[in-house]
Amino acid sequence: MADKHFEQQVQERMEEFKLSPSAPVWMNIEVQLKKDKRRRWLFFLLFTGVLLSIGSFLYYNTRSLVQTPVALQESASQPVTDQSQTNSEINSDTPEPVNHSNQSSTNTQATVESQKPVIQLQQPTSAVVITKRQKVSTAETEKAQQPIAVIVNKEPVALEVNKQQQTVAPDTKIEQKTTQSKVTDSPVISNPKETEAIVTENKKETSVDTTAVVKERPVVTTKPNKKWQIGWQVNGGAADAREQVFTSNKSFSADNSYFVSLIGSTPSTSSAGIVVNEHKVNTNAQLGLGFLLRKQLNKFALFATGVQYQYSSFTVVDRQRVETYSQQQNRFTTISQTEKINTYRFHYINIPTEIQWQLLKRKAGTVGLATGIHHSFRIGGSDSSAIFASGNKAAVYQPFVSIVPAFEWNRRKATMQLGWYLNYGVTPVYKKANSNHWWQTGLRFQYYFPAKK
Amino acid sequence: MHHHKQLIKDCIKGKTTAQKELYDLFAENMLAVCYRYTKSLADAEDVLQDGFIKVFRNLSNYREEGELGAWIRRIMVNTAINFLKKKREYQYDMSFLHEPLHPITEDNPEIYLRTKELADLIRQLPSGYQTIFNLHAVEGFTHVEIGQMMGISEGTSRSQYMRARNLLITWIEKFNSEPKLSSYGG
Repeated sequence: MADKHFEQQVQERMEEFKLSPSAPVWMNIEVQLKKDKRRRWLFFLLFTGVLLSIGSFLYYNTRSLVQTPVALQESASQPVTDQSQTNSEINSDTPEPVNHSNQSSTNTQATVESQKPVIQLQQPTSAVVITKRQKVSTAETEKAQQPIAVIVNKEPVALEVNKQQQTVAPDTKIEQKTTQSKVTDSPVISNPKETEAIVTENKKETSVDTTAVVKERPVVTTKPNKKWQIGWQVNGGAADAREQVFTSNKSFSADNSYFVSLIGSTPSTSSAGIVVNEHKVNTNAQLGLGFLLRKQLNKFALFATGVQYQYSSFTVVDRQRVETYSQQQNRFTTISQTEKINTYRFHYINIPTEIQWQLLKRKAGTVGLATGIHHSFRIGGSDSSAIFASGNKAAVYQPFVSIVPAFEWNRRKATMQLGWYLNYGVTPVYKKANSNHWWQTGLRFQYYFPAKK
Repeated sequence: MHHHKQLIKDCIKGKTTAQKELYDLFAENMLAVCYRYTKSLADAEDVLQDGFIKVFRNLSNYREEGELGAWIRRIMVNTAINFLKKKREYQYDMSFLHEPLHPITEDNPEIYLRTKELADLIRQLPSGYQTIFNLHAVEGFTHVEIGQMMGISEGTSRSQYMRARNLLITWIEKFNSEPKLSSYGG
């Protein structure tokens, strides 16, 4: 029996055991760590981009909610407001009496009583400013079936107007310099409670424009906005290609002398073997940004096009393995291996032609599907390499089909769209390749203005 | 130890020179560990590569409670076991059957082999035996721990170990009696 226990002896021997790794091991680790670093940066950039977008939208919206000063009544020198400003201009065959009365010094309510032939000034103010947002929906505007009046400031008038003097003629136009007037079935055009208007007093007095014309019911247009929208897009994700895009795997047999030349000595048990060339394509980054134009075609479809810059890359691991066949063990043993990692980068100018189908419209937004063909032109990057056959250059025109489930929503002046794209190459990346299987996938964000109605 | 601390900090910051220094410090020992678990040097280097990538990615989780070398070694062992489970050539040998406990041999022969020769003998064991022998005899894991790591029962681990031990002792005795064992280190 030995002095030391068997396990103890094995442990001690193995503690002393060391082997030097070959150089490619560290090179591969280094490449992988660099890729990790790049990925971290990409995530950081995407995260920052998302944060900035959210932040800017919130900032923009909060700002427009808090302070939207709107002149309710302006000086006489200013022209009468047009329909787009008032949303409440109508015609009527009957005269629309307006009642103004002098009441509170801080709150003013401009009232038009349709059935009463008297116009009363509620407050002797001529310029009134609304300092808080007023709520008026389009639906409410559409409800307006009764003739209403628009009031505009004129010269100071007496606090109480004589009924006979101020009776509005049938063709009197009464205008109000506000877009937020609450229009209801009742003849009152402005309700402070409903509109939440906080009205401050000015020193001027308010009068009724006796030349005002009362028109008929308002015209509310619901036609889709067929004007072009201008926008921009950012996208980021992954690009990949099937191994067949590159030269296919090769193997051949070799006699003993070949291995002797490779490893410098005669293999103990083999007389034949193979050399295996492997090309493994790894997923890599895909990024892009550009300008867009979009137009509503009909109720359910939009057409989008533009110019974009796109970047995509593939990492190809080119590995050559020499294996011998051991008759004793009945298996192949790798006797040498070399590995080369090449990253192929491509830069493109891309012209998308896309139909954006609006499948499900809800108040919060629209769920849609974008389908299209992108005309992609390679403008730079990797062209050919040692692993490619002579003349196997990257194609210049590389169109691809695209499918993008997306969600779209409006934010006041802009339309935003977030989608997940899947692009599939229609032609080979390289001219003499035997396959065209390449694809890209990722997230894209589009921003259009003005907002689609 | 202080040097290690600074090295770890620099590695976490992503400094390539520090990462290379850490790699150079442990690569030889760790390749020997990987070599014992695999059947070819190429596989051992693959495990070493994957293991070091894991080490650099998880270095911020290292609590400095134990030796850095032991922590890296544990990662290498886990990586090797995962590699063996995934790789097709090893899968047959890695599917353990519940076998009755093999009788314990009391032999404790003196090992006259050089370290490389002993490592090569261990590598010639079937993959299942090889892994369990390495885990118990070299790394010092108990059979309960091995059972948890490999997803087998404690009894299976014990039985496999005994078979591996007996086989290895037979080979060592044969090697001691014969001057040279032809083995190819591929």
